[in-house]
Amino acid sequence: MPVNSLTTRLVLLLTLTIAMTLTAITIVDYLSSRERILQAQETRVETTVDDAVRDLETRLMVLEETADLLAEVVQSGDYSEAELRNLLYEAVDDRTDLFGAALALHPPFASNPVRGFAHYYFYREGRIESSDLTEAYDYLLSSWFREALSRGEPIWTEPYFDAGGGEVNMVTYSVPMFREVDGESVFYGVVTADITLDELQYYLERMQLGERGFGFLLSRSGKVMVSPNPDNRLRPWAGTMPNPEQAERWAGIISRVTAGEAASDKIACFDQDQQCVIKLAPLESTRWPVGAFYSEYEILGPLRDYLTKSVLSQLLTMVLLLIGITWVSRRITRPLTSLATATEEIAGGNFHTPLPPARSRDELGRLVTAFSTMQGELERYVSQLQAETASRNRLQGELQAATAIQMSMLPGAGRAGVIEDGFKLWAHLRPAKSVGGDLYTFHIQSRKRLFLAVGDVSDKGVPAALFMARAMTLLQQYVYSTLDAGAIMAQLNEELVEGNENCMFVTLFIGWLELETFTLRFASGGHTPPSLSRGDRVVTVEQESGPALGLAEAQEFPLNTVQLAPGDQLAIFTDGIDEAFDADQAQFGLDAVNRVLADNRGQNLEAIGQALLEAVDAHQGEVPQSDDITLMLVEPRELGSARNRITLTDDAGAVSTLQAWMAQLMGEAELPLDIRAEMQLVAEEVVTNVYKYGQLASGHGVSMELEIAEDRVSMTFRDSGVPFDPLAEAKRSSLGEDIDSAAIGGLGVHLLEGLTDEQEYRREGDENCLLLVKHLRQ
Amino acid sequence: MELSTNVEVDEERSLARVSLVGALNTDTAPGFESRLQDVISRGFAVTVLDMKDLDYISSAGLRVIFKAAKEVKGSGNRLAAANRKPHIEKVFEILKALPDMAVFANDEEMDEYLDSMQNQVKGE
Repeated sequence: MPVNSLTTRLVLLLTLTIAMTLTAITIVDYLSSRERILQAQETRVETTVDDAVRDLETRLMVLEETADLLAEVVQSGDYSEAELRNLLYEAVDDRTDLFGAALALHPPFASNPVRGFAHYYFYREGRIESSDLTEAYDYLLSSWFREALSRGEPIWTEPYFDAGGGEVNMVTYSVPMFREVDGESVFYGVVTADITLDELQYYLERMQLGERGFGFLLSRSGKVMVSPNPDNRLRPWAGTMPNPEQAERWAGIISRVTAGEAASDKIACFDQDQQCVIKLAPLESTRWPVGAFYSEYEILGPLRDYLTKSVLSQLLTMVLLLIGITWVSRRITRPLTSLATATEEIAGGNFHTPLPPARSRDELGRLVTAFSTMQGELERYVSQLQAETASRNRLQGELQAATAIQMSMLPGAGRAGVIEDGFKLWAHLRPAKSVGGDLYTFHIQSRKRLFLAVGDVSDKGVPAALFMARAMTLLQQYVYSTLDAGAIMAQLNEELVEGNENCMFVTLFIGWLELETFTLRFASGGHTPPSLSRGDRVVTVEQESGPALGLAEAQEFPLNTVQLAPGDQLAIFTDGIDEAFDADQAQFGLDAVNRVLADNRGQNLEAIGQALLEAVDAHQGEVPQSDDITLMLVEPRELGSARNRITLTDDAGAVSTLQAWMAQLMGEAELPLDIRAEMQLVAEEVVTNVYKYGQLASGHGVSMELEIAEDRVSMTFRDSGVPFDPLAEAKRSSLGEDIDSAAIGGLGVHLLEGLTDEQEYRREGDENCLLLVKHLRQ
Repeated sequence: MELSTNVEVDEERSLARVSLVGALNTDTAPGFESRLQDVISRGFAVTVLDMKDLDYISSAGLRVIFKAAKEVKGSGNRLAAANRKPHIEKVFEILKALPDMAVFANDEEMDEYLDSMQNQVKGE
């Protein structure tokens, strides 16, 4: 069973609780029982001893009474010796409580004063036998006769062996008799009654408490009368002690008892390893110490048995409980375990895993039912989610395709950069969603004029994209129909109004830029006015605008005319730029547009465009782009300034041809000699590079335009090789290294950068276009 | 533009003087490279490139000089340039080429240098 399982914990917890409870109960029970049992034992021992003593006393009293009565009879009558023997016989006959009795006369009162008279009747094997004691020994010297005579009152003798009489160990009660002779009380004789030590032993046997316990009886002088070992009879008690220490302790107790009081003490048992109790009291009539000696440990035996049984029964209870609890908790947790296993299976994606059956209507049953419901719901939910995900992925894929298609409708697929004779242009469209409603396009008409269009369809997303596609198509259709931008706009409007149930509309900027005169004629259909950067000033162009296209028929779009000059930069954009919101709902604004344009004046168009877009992004911060953003930058240039163009096709001798051609043009323009050499060097590096890395197809070569103005020399290189930006990708050697570690080669690009002031690379269609400009100091 | 070269040898001073006339560009660099190879393979202590009449040099030409300098240094000899025109010098500077190459503005400086080298050798 794993330690962290519910069953284990349940079993452990319950078992521990029960064990602790049972232990506590046992301890309390034992303590109180022990007290009770000890008390009971004490009482029992006392009762036993008391009973034995009382019985003994009674027995002795009966015996004394018999002897006393006989003595009374004898001394009050005048009997012959034969009559005396009869009296004695009658006293002994039919008595079981005495062993024997004797009648002895003071010799002067005997018929034969020399022999005296002493007759004895006693039991032997159930029959009465008689013995004439005068024959056996001189009875006058016996203690029972002498002591009674000297004391003048009844006495109990010390125990003795009755040789010549009963031939047993006995003790004798002796009563002296007196007679009135001449008015004087004269000693007449004694009457005795005997009791054997065996008889006394019988009374003390009940005092045997436990295996080690025994009762004992001592004589007044300390002789052993009754003890467990018959051999010890008649011996002084001290001689029966196992060691002097015991003897000393016993002597203390016995001396108290012979003084007349009862005593008890706890001393070591004879075999020393347990505690024993000795209880001793004097017999009332004889002052014989009678006592009991027993082991406390043995007396407490029942308590121990009780304790053992109690502990055993509790252990049994525990085991049974343990089995019961284990069974119950197994029963409870088995469905949980199988439920957990099934749930893990389900979590792994196998929704058809069968759950354990809900047999009962208890909490577990409800849990299983709930799980079963959840399983069904989960399966339904996951399959629904899968379907939705698949459909969303499909939609995503379609949208991506739509984005690609929409972007492909734009020149440069949304990011265009063109350097042409007469103008430079850079345009970028960034939709807010995957498809958008912004548009831009441009066309060059016979190298004389440039058509420009930037538009913004209302709303965003797919509807806007479809409307944008329609507008783009119509724009392509009407672009060459007239040079009047306003008229194109009006035609477009008529087409867009047609069937426009959704009332979609588009704001539009359309313009024609004359490349020879730099005159821009444009019309605006509700579009944001463009910004013009000239010299160090940037202004928003004043415009007269028509309405947005697509809403109403028969609209007119006034024509605006702006006279541009070479080097001017015109920014045409959608409101995604000037109406970009920050977190505080503040718009970016036209002023900010103009400021960014002014700050970046003099840079190439791409750099300016990127700076403006980055400024818009910075303004928006964390706020996501809310609208499509389109920016078009146009810079007119002197047409014909690049009149001089050379195309090199053959690798061999190309450099020399180019340099000779350049030398002539630069000579005509009277450029300084060092500039001429440097430009030739730069041209050689570029052309060499193209032939080396461009993988040009046979017959394809490099063309170069050389434009010499007052303040600058511009060189534009074009080739149809693989896309290759020498400024970014060329192998460059690091400069200034030790000759041993420096690489040979890769020097050319350093020369381009070292000898010219502007470098700009662009991929136009399938051509690499590299523009290099050298500023001339005036 | 063409390039013509003239080689003078001073066996006593273990000196070769290679004069370049014209342009050292992509077209002329390969020819010059083999010419220069012939000279440096003869193991002169000093090979001087006299650029008094060199009007033009491109990175291809510099590459040849660069390579030769590396080779000469490897064999314990020296390659030096003398009489560079300003725009030639500018190209060298842009490329920070051959920082440890001896250059002499004119013949006098070169002679001085060669004499001092000669004395060093004798002094040892």
